[in-house]
Amino acid sequence: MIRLFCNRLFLFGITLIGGLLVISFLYSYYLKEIIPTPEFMLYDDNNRLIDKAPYPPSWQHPFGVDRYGEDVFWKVVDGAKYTIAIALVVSIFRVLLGTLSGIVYAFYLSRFRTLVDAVIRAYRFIPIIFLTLLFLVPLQLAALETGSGKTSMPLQMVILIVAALPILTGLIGNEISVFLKNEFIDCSRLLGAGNLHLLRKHVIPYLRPRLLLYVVQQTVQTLLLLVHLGVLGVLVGGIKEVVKGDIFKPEKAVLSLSNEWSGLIGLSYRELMLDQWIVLGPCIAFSVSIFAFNLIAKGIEQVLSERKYVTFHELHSNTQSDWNDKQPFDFIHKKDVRQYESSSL
Amino acid sequence: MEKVWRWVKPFVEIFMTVCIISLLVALATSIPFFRSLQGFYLFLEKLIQIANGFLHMDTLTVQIGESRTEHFLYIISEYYPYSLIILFSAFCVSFFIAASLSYIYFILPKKIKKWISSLLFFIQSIPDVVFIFAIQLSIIWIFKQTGWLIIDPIAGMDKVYVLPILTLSILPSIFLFQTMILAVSEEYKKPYVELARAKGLSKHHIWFHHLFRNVVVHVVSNMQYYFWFMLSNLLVLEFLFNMRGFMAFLRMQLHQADIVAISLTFLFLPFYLIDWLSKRVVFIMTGEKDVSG
Repeated sequence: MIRLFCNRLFLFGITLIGGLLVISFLYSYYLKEIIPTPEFMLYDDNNRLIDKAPYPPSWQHPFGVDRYGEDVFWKVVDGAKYTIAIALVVSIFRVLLGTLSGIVYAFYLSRFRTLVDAVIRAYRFIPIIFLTLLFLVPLQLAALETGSGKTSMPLQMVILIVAALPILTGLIGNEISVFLKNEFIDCSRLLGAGNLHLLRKHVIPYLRPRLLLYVVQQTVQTLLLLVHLGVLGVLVGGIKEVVKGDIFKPEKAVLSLSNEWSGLIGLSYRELMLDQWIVLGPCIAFSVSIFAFNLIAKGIEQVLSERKYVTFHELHSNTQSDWNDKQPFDFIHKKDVRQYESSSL
Repeated sequence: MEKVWRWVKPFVEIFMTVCIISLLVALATSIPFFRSLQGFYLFLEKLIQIANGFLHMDTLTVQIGESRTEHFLYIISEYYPYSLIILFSAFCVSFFIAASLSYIYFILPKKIKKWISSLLFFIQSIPDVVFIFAIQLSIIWIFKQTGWLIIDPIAGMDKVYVLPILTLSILPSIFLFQTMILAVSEEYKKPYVELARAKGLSKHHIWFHHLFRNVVVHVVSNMQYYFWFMLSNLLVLEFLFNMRGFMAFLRMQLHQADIVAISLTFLFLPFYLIDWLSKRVVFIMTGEKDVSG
């Protein structure tokens, strides 16, 4: 764990995410009151109207101001905590449940492997975005019909978690079954170790450092999934339909209840051709946070590969020690090597 | 017995997977009603509907839009090949890009190599949606500046090919490139390369005659993962480019349990075939049971 924090990539990634979260929390509890909201309409010195929201990006508002007169930058910052929290919670549960079912799969289900593999295959060939869409869209429609628009967030999270579970189970299960083929496992079994003992003494110590890596990888996957869901107009945390605009030209818009990023992307996509910059903010935010999580993953990978697990084969392929008792030798018929070297150059 | 099982096994697997898909779809379409027992009856009803759909596929009809009703098989023949063409050509393009990039990478000096791999690491973090936005916006920007529309960024009634294929192939080509680089650096340590180099064969020769072939095996054995990844992107791509493809069609029919289940089966079959074929090819090429492990 300490070695992780010595890794530059890991440290950089985690400061990025941590900084984003801290600013986000500061914003909603403290900064919100201080920062002035942008003017909805701009007047020049003679009180003439010169511009009306949305404004393009400027130094004052780095991501611009959206149609409703809100600064996109602070909206993105506000949404950071929701998005990252959703991604983290989903991925942690995915990995925890995936590990449990992976252990069951590797230890006990080897007889039913054809059946389990069929389930995994079904999941593997349906794109995950489609699978989540399949479950989330009826929920969202039902929620809109009742009028509240608030879909139950836990249920949505459960869907996001379960959708990736079979694949993760297969992944972790396979890793465990490969690990169980090691020779020391056979020795351990011969000495009378049961499954539970193997699990406690061998499998879990082997998996533990990897789990963190899985969590980070799954977080990236979840973030990507959230982008796609957002573009398709399915928002985690519920939506509300509001009527904006004046009475003569009522405009139905779907708003995210929180400023969650995927919501921001999906809702501003309609405006892509009108005000290009509105979609810019959440896109940059997503890219930066995915980049940060990728950095963390790479850092963990580096630390993991530094640790030397000497396998049986590596131990025995090292035949250097057999030569120690041999005498140094020399060729009898020697030619001058330097002559060849100079000619080849 | 063993031999019979080898030929029967794919069919058993396909059958089981189709069953699982049907169960999932039935569950998904009845999930909002699961607060009471009514949800369970609805679930059974949907299952029967799906089974009926599979049995009477030729008479199944689909409602498109407000008033148009078409035969399901006709719709499939219209949308399905289009999406598959996009998908496969995108894969071919990205394979080509990745192969040529990794050849260039192979002959470059070490310093530039490091530079390229960190650049790719960054690009990889950008969601594909952002690429699509960027491409659409930049084409419009060029149009506004010069009045020259390179390619129509949003499909109308006719089918577009070039732009979606190129967009879809960006991220897979980066992933493929990274897989290839990893495989090359693994292969490069093997004794046969050392022998070839000791014989004085040029880097170029080693690449084309030895390394590349072995690297292709790695790619083929992981092919299904790329397709899975690309399918996800295709759904969003078809939505954003307003394409009339299979995934867009599926998205509109989400409430129709039987149609979704049959369409997903259609989607599943070619990829199962690819998976099976790639395993056979790898087996024939290397004699190893499974390279990916």
